[in-house]
Amino acid sequence: MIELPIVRVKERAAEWPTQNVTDQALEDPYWRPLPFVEFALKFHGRCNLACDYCYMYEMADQSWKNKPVAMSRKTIDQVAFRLGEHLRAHADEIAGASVRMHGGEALLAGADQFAYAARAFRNAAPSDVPLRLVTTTNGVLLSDENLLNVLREHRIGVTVSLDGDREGQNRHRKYANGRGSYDLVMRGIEVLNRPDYRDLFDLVLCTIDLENDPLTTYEALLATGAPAVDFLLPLGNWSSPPPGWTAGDGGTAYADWLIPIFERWYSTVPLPAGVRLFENIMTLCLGGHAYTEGLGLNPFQLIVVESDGTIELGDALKSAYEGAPYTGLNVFRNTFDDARLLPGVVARQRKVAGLSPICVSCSIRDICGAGEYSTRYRSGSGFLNPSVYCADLAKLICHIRDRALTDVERLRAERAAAG
Amino acid sequence: MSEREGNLVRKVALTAAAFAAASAVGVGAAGAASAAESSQANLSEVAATTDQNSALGAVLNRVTADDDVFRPAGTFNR
Repeated sequence: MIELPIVRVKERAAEWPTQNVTDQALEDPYWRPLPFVEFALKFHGRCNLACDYCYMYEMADQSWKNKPVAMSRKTIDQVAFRLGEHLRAHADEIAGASVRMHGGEALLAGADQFAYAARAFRNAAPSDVPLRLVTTTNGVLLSDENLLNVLREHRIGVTVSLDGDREGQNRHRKYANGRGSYDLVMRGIEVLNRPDYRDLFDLVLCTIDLENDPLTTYEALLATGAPAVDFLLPLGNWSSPPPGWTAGDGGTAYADWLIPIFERWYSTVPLPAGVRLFENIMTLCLGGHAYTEGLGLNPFQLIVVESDGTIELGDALKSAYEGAPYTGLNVFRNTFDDARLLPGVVARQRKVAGLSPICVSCSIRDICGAGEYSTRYRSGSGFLNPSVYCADLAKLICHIRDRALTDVERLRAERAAAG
Repeated sequence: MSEREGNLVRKVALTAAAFAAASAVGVGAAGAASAAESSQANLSEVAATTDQNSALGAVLNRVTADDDVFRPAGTFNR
């Protein structure tokens, strides 16, 4: 008999998205529910750091306290079963899928658990659906070559969270005793950069802290040797604004922090590394597609599985309110298809129909896409709002758009003049 | 209008500031798709003249090769 946890969810039935979102979508002859192609697993439910801004442990949702420390093999097997079931059922709609082993700190699960899970997921996936395995880590355990050998053997890509230089990293990313993590993380990155493991290194991920100097932070991230860098706007919303947020007073502190980095990055040839945020804005401005959540209108096709097997919505929602990612579903009794018509899933696959009236009438809506979903939250109206970063995103997007399109036009004119 | 045509039309709309051909968007599916392909060709030509090691060159290549298929690293950015 399976024991399922008792979860109390604050009553928010009146907040958007309600069941009405799903009902309206089903009445739309041009809409159909999409399968999930990204699966984020809470592979290990605890962390060896105690970062003070962590959305999993330090923000509104505290459900981690009721969940197992680590995902058991029984749960891994059941996730693999559901994964295979879902990918086979939708093979004709799916070009590929990814499983991200996430935490907490995922590497705490250990080498054997990674090997076990990788085999289970690859064996479960149909042969005609390419499956990519990836993990996100704080980097502290990357100097363990036994672990890295397993990641290499099973082709598991690595994203490392790093906030910049020593001062920037140690400001928030600390051990419970207050000691900074910079030295251990950089030691891990040094090992990851060795020729045997270098191909595993996907990305270094930086949460913006306005207290850090932007260019110093950018240069520190480049110095890791990562092939790509990304900047994350800290999670926050209209009811609980991000740190240092100035838009309420007409400011654009986050755009003002990012624009000097964009200018440095854009002007450097050869390009030292990709910067995913900037590349995606430029790509959208030039008519392409974004490959990251939080920009553009591409449908969001991700689902989260917690360490106890519960199926949840995108885990950034933990920053909004207690129970925000909760679905009531569990891989032991539900298929992933059971989640496809949840209002919180449908709302993120409705493109313009899933935006607030202000966003619908905005000239840059197709690029901004109303920002990262959790940042739209306001107590009372739910997620049918612009992002709390609306002013910052508008300034950053317009800056990048003007810079890129001016250069495209100049190059086109030069080419025309050259005959 | 096919999905591909729809994507191309969107590209025209979004690159309106750069390409006069975008003004043809309102003339119907066939005309719009034709204008879109023209605009796409323009982008490809500009991409060919851009330093491939620059940010703009890298992005132009990505846009002109954009096939709207699944990207294996995923969109999850946590």
